[in-house]
Amino acid sequence: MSEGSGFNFDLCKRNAMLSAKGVPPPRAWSTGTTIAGVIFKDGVVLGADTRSTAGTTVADKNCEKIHYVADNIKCCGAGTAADTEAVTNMVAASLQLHRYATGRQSRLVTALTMLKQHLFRYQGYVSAALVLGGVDLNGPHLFTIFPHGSTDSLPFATMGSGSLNAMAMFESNYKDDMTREEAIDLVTRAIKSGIYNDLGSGSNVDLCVITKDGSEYLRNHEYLMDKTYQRKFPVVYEKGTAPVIKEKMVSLADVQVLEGAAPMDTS
Amino acid sequence: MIPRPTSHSPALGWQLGPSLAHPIPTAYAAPSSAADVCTPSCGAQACMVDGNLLEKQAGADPRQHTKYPYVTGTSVIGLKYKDGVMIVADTLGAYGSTKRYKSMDRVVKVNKHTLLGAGGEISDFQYIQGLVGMTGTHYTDSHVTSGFANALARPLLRAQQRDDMSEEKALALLHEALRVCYYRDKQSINKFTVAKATKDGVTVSEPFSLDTRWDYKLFAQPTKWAVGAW
Repeated sequence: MSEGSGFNFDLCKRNAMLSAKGVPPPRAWSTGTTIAGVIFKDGVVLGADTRSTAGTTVADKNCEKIHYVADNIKCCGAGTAADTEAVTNMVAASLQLHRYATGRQSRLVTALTMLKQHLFRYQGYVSAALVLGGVDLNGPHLFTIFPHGSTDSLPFATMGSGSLNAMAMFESNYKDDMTREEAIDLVTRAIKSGIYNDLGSGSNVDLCVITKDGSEYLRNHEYLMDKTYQRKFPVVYEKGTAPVIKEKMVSLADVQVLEGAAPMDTS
Repeated sequence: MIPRPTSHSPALGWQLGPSLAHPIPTAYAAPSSAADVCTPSCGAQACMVDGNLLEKQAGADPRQHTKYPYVTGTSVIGLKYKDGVMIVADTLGAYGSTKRYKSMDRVVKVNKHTLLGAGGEISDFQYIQGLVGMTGTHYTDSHVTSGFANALARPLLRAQQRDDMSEEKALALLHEALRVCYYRDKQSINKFTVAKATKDGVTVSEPFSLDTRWDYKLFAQPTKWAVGAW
């Protein structure tokens, strides 16, 4: 593997040879997600669902999609779970070293630039679609980062398979300078829209509210997996539940015991 | 009786047209058995799709005849309300990425009781208008959507639509759903027609447009604190 900062093309020849031989390339798994963020008057609210899927199976019913990047910066991740986890951890560690070197609180643009340069370098093969949000000395910021490395700076953003469902809520209800309660309510509605209308998203709503005074992680802010029906076990049926149609009493004294019969086959 | 238009697909049965470039095989000239055809109650002729005659290609969708759509329509939204049903769509026929036909009615009146709205290939929509009663995949629900509206409008309809909602509320909800579709669907324009079916009959409205907001404060200077972002 060649070192350096450019894209490593070593495996492209192998992939071309394989597909010429008829071996289909492995399909990228989109884990299915609804992630969203909104900027309000004093900061940013990030939200995510908690379902992690492997194909059509739910792998984790209550996973954490809001990743720690710095005390004042959090990142929601959609796409391949390993990629989002690894890339956010990598940037969190780099930012810590950067903080030691600079002696200052991390800025959002620093995290943004580190993430986009990493993703662009891998030409979209690191399948991480991120919503990065936080508050730094310049105020609250919210960015989306696509797997190929492009970024957008937005007041409200959604990503993942449920992004259109969540965006419908944002487009109808966003307003400038919302209060903290309004923003929390809006993000919750957007994530729930994804959970109820998209099969790739589900389970619960996680939120993270970040202001200049710190960040508050509201894990399972809305817990939607309540078992609303509790099964009684063992089931007890009262006498009289089943109607009795006929009764026949047989006395055991009238039963004949046959000696010398073949033993019961208990194999 | 409306003369049946010609069809391009053997699976739909070659219809006899004025002049055809290729001779029709006699086997296809008539439907296989009159008893097989379910005639619709409105008296129109049914259209039967003969699955055996469809081109057999790997992964071919038996419901799809058009391989290459040319002029397309986008979302259609329909819902039930207190007095009846409403169907709404924009008036764009897009030719790839070009906004080619900006005044197409994509919701039409079929008869006194029926509306028909369609997205996708427009020529197929125009063909279908001559064949009311077509047997195909159909859904019955309090609200239906097609195209982009599936993802964008359905959450709004699920949250707010009620079977007994008044006409004003139903219209406001449809406007809200259309606005979101217009914001987020690149192949749409801000010109819509809405059609209404009630016990008094069917009406198709004149085209109208919606107010849109583009002036949120934070859209103004996105790269103020993030040079290199968009």
